[in-house]
Amino acid sequence: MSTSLLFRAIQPFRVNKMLTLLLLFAAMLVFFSTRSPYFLTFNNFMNVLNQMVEVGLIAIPMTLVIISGAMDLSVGAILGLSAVSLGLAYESGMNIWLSVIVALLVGSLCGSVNGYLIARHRMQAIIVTIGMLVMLRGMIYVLNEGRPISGYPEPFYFLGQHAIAGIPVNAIFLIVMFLIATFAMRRTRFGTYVYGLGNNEEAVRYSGVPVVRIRFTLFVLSGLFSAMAGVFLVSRLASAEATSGTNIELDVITATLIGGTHIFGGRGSLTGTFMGLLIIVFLRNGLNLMGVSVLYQSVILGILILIAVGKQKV
Amino acid sequence: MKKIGSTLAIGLLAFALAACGNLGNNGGANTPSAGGDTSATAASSSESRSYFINPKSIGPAYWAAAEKGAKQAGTDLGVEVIFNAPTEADSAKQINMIQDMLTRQVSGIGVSPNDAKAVGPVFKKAADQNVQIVTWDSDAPETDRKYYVAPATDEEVGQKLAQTIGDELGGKGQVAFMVAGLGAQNQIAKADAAKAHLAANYRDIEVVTTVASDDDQQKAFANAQNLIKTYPELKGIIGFAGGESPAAAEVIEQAVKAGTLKQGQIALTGIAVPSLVKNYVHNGTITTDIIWDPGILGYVTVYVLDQLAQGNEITDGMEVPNVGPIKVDGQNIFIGMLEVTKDNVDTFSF
Amino acid sequence: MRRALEIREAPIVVFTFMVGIFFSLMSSSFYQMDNVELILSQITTNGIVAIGMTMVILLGGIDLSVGSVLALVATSVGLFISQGLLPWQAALLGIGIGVLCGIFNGYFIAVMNIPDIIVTLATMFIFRGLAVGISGGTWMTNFPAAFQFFGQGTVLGISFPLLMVIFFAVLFALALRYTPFGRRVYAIGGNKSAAKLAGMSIAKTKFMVYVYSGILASVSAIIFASKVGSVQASTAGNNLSFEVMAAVLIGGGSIFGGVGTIVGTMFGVLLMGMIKNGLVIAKISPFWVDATIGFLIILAIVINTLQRIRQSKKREGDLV
Repeated sequence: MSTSLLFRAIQPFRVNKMLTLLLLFAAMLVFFSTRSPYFLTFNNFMNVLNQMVEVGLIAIPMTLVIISGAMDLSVGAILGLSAVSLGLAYESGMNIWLSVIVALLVGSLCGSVNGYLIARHRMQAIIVTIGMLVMLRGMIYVLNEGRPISGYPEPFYFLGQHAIAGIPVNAIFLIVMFLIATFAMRRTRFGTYVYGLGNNEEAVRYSGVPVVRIRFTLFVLSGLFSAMAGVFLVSRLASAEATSGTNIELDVITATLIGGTHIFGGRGSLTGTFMGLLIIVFLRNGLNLMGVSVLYQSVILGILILIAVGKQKV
Repeated sequence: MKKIGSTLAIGLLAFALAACGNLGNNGGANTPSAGGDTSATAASSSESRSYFINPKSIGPAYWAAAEKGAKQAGTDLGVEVIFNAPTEADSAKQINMIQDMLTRQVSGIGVSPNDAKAVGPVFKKAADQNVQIVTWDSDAPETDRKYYVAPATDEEVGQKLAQTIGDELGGKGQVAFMVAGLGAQNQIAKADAAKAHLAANYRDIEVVTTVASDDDQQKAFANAQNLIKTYPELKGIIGFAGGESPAAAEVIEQAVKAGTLKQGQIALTGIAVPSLVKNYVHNGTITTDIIWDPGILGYVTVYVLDQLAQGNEITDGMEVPNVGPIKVDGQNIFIGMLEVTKDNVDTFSF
Repeated sequence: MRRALEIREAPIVVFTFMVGIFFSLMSSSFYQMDNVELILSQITTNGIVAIGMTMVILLGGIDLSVGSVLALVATSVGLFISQGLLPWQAALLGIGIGVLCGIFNGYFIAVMNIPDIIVTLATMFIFRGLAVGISGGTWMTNFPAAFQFFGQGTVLGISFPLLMVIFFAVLFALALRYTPFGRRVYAIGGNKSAAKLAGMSIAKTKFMVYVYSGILASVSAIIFASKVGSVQASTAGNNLSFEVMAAVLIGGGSIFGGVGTIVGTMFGVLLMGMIKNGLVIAKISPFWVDATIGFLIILAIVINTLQRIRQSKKREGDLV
């Protein structure tokens, strides 16, 4: 009886992926708050928001790249290279904010190499970005022989360690970025083209859309956002390390896929990705609070992927 | 709707699994003690103090041995010990986990930092919350940590390794270094110290190269093969992490068996858990292996944290129950290194 | 001569030789027989896994879980042996576990119709967690002498692992070319709807390919454990899936399916092995090794793409 009532209540809404995600997320919150008294606290929520920024920033362009029917596996290496470039630039006596710009330029440059090869020469995105992953990670060692770089001026830590009205600065930045990107995807021609690219590239090309330029832009954005994530990471950890961002691409892709973006492109949304992001970071946080060993955590994450994305058909 | 229902059902199943995992964990923690009920009463009597012990990563045998020691200390002292870390030695993931445990309001954290500088902010936050902080195995100087529990300083370990290989070679020949990561700070510190020690004391020893395995056994294995091939004059190898010397030993033994290398042509030493190198030490491929008891390291870390949480002082020569006296030098607590040789390799339980 | 260049694998073969010549010029010990043997022995585990990956990619899929399967099988074989099982029994059981992993993947991909990358991303986490879970955090090591045959033994003077690579490569190359199974793999990867209309069972073919991939990964795991002598469940085969995928794609495979051969893949594997070995032999600074490997991967893919463009221009005019 009550279930049918609930059913009728839900009817007006489209029973879609987003609702499933919301319900899953809510169930998770309920479950963890019964398991740990510390889970449902303001401090813990802010703590989680602070942690999800790097993955979240990269997930924005990754969602667009996947919607357009491609993939970028080099984001973690770009993050690392930009972080170390920031450190090196500052060490060489540059102003810290100039160093940040250097890092962003390095990231965009890496992204444009990806974009040039993939968009202009139509090379396979996966293999090009695997190659870039290995090469850029190697470049980091060439640049500073793997030594971590630390000792930044106090104002720089504003980005990663400070909070405004209790909310971490980097989380605010992330949310603003998500809002801007969502607006761009929904209201601009660029957004329409990105979806079009993923659905039917040929048709889009013949209707006169600059396909190459759009795809190129997507990879440059991917590089730029990875570099931003690198900057925030350095600010949060107060140290630029050669290993920064290793395997972050897996977290990013997992969040994007759980968020309902279709792996073969054409479908997906940034709101979904944001939900996916919340689900994986709160899952990890809740399991940590419960003291669950990481070994079980990875099994649980795997099962969750199958559940959340399992209904995506080929 | 049905779909959503089933999704949720499976979802809850997954969390039930999580709960089981949790139970399994606690069960594991209690097994060394007499039984579950003793630890339960002990926990309530000590106002449920809990400590988070955080190695660099989960997986290597070395950390598994440390976990046993830390958990044992937990049962002996009647406190809760949570031993966890990411599966990869990644500083960002490690710090996220420490932050999570701080919201859980543990009484103290024992951290083996992947990056000494990066834990600074999170240690500061912990200190503000009155959480006791101790580093172990790897240090983070210039932070809010109270003590550093270690076998010896990285410099001493590096010098010890250099000394061992120097003496075995009679002070002459080419030596190669094998490390886990080119960017890992504890590896850099040890390797630099070893290099300096060799340069100062054994002028005829030349360090030809340093190869990194990124903690991958197959890569360490291939690295060792390539080293032997590239440097026919190679006389010695030092492995600076737990996986390097077993891999090198395997390569040397296979080469000896294949006849491309003479027995004893390459001297090998390194840091490795005795159980991993038992056979190689018996066969004489490794004459001396340097190690310390990671279990004791974990045990002392928990003990020190518990003393600090109760407001007790840590003094030089103080007696740690079941371990013995410890050496305290300023903010450093040393438990000492062990030399593993053919004669004692079977006496270690880790 | 012109005909030879038309072959798909031609650019990668030429590039492999060029790299070989380059390293030989850098160091005279590179082209000596024992180093050639060394390279061949170093590529065996990747080579066997790459055969399975080739078929997966031919179908237009991706298998991210191979590294975790390898870790799971290697760890269980170590456990079986420590429980007192004979090496061959442990090896057979290990292959059985590989089959189970393949069935698990295959069931969700082929029967439940979930995209490959999602399923294998999930099983990558699951199998790895299981592997570390059953290992209890300790390493599998101190294998008995009899077990060493799988990774170090020789048959008629040729190393057993190398024989296995050759055996499986020839077996699957023939199967892909001459059996209905092989024709189905190419047809489905090339044009799924057409294959379906022609009455081919896509699900069955996909399922089998993942089972084969599981078997190959488990064979590779046994060789790995026997050769390296110690297995760390949390890191064994960590980068395997990316490395093997790179080898397949360098060898002329297309991520969109339908294109690629086992021969090309073998050259891809060989090229990667030569680069890794050569950089150390040539005494290049360790800090430069990864950067150079990445650069050469990109170079190889550039060469491949140039070939593709040249061919499609000839056939279809200037479309690209």
